[in-house]
Order: sequence, then C-alpha cells, then structure tokens
Amino acid sequence: MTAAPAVCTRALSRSYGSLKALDELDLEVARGQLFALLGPNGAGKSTTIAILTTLLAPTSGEAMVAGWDVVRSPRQVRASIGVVFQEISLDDRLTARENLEFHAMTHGIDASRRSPRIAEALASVGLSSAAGKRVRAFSGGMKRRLEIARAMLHEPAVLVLDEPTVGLDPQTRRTVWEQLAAIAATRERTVFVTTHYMDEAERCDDVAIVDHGRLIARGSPAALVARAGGERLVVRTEDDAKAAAHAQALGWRVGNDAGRLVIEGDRPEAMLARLAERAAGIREATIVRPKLEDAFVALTGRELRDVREEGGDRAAMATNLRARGRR
Amino acid sequence: MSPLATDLAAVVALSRRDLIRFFRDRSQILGAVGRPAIWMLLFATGLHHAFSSDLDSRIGYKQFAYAGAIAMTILFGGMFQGVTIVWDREFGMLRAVLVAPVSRTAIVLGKTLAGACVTLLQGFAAAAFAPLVEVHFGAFDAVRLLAAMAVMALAVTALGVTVGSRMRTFEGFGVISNFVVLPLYFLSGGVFPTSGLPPWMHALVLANPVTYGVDLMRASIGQPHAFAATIDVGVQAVFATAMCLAALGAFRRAAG
Ligand SMILES: Nc1ncnc2c1ncn2[C@@H]1O[C@H](COP(=O)(O)OP(=O)(O)OP(=O)(O)O)[C@@H](O)[C@H]1O
Ligand SMILES: [Mg+2]
Repeated sequence: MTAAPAVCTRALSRSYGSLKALDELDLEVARGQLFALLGPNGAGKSTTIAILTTLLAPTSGEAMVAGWDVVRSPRQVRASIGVVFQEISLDDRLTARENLEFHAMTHGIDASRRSPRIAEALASVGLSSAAGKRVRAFSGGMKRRLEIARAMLHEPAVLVLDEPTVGLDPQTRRTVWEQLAAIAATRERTVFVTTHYMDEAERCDDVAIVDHGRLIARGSPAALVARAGGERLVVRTEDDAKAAAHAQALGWRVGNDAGRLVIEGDRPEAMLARLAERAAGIREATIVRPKLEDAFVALTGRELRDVREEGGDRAAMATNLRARGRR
Repeated sequence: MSPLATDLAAVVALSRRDLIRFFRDRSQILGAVGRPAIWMLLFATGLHHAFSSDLDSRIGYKQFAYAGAIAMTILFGGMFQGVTIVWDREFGMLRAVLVAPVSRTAIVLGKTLAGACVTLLQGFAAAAFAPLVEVHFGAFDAVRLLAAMAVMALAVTALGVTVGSRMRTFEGFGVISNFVVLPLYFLSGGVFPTSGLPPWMHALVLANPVTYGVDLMRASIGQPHAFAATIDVGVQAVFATAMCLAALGAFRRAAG
C-alpha cells in the first residue's frame, strides 16, 4: 500500500442542472482516521459519497480514494472500499447469508475463506441466529446491521458509510461505533462516515462540516467546539451588580443573558468556587460547555434546509388530491 | 483473487442470485407453466378446429402453433428478465453491485445468463406440453429443439437487459417491452402462416430474427419449415451476438 491519503478531493464539483451540489470541495482524510463528514440536509454529503464510490462522475475537479483516481481507476477504487449507502441496498428475497455470499463472490474472497468470514461478520452484528432468514422479514435495524457487516466483510482499506446508524437502537449504535473505532484504531484502515448525530461525530478523530457543497469547517471535534466559544458559568445571585463587579475584578468577561450573568473564562468549576467565596447569595449556577452541536449550528445557521422543496411537494400533493377528488 | 477470477465468480454469483429469486417466486413458476398450457390447450386447439382446412395440408394448426407457443414463452419470459435491472435499480441493489470490483461486462453477462436460464426453463415447460397439441418427436430432436430454444432465449434476454438498462420505471419498461415483443411475435410466423401476407408484411417477417428461430425449432422436430437450417442458425447466432453487445452498451451507458 502507498502512503497516499485515504481520501483526497481537489476542487471537486458536481452540478445537477443549475444546482451546485458540490462546489469546489477540497478534502483530505489521512489513512487510519475515524473521519466524519457533517452537514445539513442537502449539503452534498451523499453526492460526495457517490463520487468517492465511483457511482457518480464529477462535473469537474478530482477525487482519489486509497491513492486511486475515481474516474481513471474505478476498479481499483472499488477494490479498496466497503460501502453502506444512505438507503438500504440488500436483496430482500435472499437470506442474510445469501446476501453476504453474493458480496463475498463479487469481492474476490476465496471460496475457502467465505464461510468463516461470513459467520464472523454475522456474529459481529448479532445476526448469527437470523442468518438463514429472508431479509424481507428483517426489521429496519437488522437490515442496517447486515449492511454494515457486508461492508466490512472483505476488510476494505476505506470504509464509507452514509448515515449508517439511522434507525438503530442505542445498543446497536454503540456496538457499531465500537467496531468503527476498532477499525480505525488499526491505523491502516480508514472510516469515512456521514452522520447527523453529534455525539457520534464527537467520537471521531477528525471532522469536516460542509454546507451548500462547500467545506466550511475542518478539524478535531475539540477544535471545532472551541470555535463556538469557550466554557462559561451562568449564575443568578441576590445581587447581580456586586457579583458582576467581583467577576470583573478577577479578570473574567461578564455578560448578561435573560436576567442571568454569563461569565466566560477557563475552568468554570473553579470560577464558581472563587465567586462563591466573595459574592454571597448565589441562587442558581450552571456550567455551560459548548458541544459540537453548538459549533454545528453556529457554523451552518439555524434555518431548516430543503424547506422550499418540501413545501413544493406538499403543494403538489394537495393539487394531486384535488385532482383525484374531482374525478 | 485475480480480476478475471473475481469477474467469473461475479458471473456465477449474479446468475445464482437470479435463479434463487425465480425459484422462490411461486407466481413466476405458475405463470411459466400456466401460460403455455392455456395457449396450447385453448387458443391453438380452438383455432385448429376453426381453420385447419386453410393450412398446409401436412400439418394442423395445433401442430403449427407449437413452435409459436414456445417462442411466445421465450419472448415474454426473456423480455421480462430485463425488468430485474429496473427492479435492482429501484430497490438499491444495483448500487451494491456497481461498487463491487467487477467489470461491467461481467455484470451484464451474469444478468443475461441467469435470465436466459430462467427463460429456457420456462420454454422447457412450454415444450413439455407437446402431447397436448399432438406433436411427437424423439430424444435427438428434443435436444436439437432445446439448442434452438437456448440461442433464442439468450438473444431475447439480452434484448430485455438492453431495454431494462435504459428504463427508469416499471411502467416504462412494461410499455416499451410490449411495443417490442408483440410485433416480434406476430411477425414471426409462429401465430399465422406467412404465405399469402401482403408484401410489406412479408418483408417485415423476413426482417424479424425471431422468424428464423421459430423456423429452426420447426426444422429441429421434423415439421415443415421455410429456410435452410444453416440460414436459421446463422441468423440466430448473429441475433444473439448483436443483442449481447447491445445489452453491454446500454448497461455501460446507464451505469457509467
Ligand atoms: N439526482 C439528483 N438530481 C437533482 N438534484 C439532486 C440529485 N441528487 C441530489 N441532488 C441535490 O443535490 C444536493 C445535495 O444532495 P445530497 O444528497 O448530496 O445531500 P446530503 O448532504 O446527503 O443530504 P441528507 O443529509 O439529506 O442526506 C441537494 O440539494 C439535492 O437536492
Ligand atoms: Mg445524504
């Protein structure tokens, strides 16, 4: 294997008509990372994944996976990746085992290694007892787990997962993330995941936030959180003016938010103790630690996405219903 | 595994998958057996009594329609195999196949071979109704008939895959496949004799590759037929090859 990054895009763009789903995206993910791509609905995450998995051609720019160009060497790229798509892509007329056998045969796993690998993969997602059941009869979560097992079956260098844990129960989410972390912990294999769950993103080594097809933030979760403002102490006291004067005297920044004092500084627990020594009558105190979610909202804004399109759908549906009613 | 070995394994995997799906689908099996049975029993026998006097005196309508009924089964069955591509696209499975490190050729080949096998099985079921229409032939003829059916099944399935690759919806596939299949069937000499047709229609019959498949089937079981076997075989071989290439082209274009 080369020391090339697991994923590298340069000015990667993809348009759908006049809509720029991806707009000159530059992204580099080092090998052995647990990497999360975040972004609001319609930001371009699935479009990025479609290009990285060779299913969609870029309009311009380039993308490399495991050192291979997705346009020039698609077969080598495909041999390097395991994919979980946003939508279920199993054959529901086949059993779980048959789905994995199909995958093993199309991914060059030797006949002798197929059975043990499949048994192992099924066990890893707790589906051993359902191996002979048709996927049709699976719950949504079981289908997802089977897809995750399938993506890992051939031990790909880069695992690409598009919102893999949607609809999974907390136990399964936890095991899935433990597996993803274990894969990245080898420092050989890379996990590239999109998610809307900020607690999941916080577990990653490295995070990128995209919006409107552009990269808007990049770094470790901690670094991104720091950009959303530091930790703060929020207090209500018997005499706010006095408490504020004390805080200022100690060199902390003081603000006001809905009748509460907001005091910014390092280590809010220690700040609270020192403040309590001087300014008596603290009635209420909260320590606020910004999370990745705050950083995400700060960076991408508060408005909902795809609202216009959804409104359009609803209008179309109403028209449709009226038309039916007339018949 | 080498790329070639992976491609071969993929062809096997794709074929196996579609065969499993077929055998799990009772309605498809029932259709495969029921359609030709109804056709031969009701349609052919009915028409036999209606106008057997107008036909070639060496053969009754029942016997005449036998090869046509097999061709019909293969045409509809083979064409319908193309719908599995639309199906796979609709239900996401196609994407899982397209990210596998296998050549597009292997995918098309796997789909086409599996479809042709299923189609041939359906043709088999139709051919087995020979006693129903009082057609009799020996084991050697049966093998020749089967070979003729196999080539036609391959060609028609490839045609189905071609159409399936270009269609995005089931409805679209249904409309287009009927547009393609019905003329191929009616102008094949399998439903009515082609002697005495208006010249424009006769020209279409001669241009229709299925005509030669039906003729070859007739020849293989010792029924009166129109062309030399070498012509029939040649046209069928060209038909099958051309359709496989068309399927490959259409799938490549659609899959990128
Ligand atoms: N086939 C298509 N034709 C037209 N527009 C498309 C197509 N696919 C995606 N888009 C548009 O491209 C943009 C990016 O879509 P994409 O699916 O990549 O978003 P996403 O980040 O995955 O969103 P989500 O979180 O909702 O899955 C959206 O505005 C979407 O409407
Ligand atoms: Mg998406």
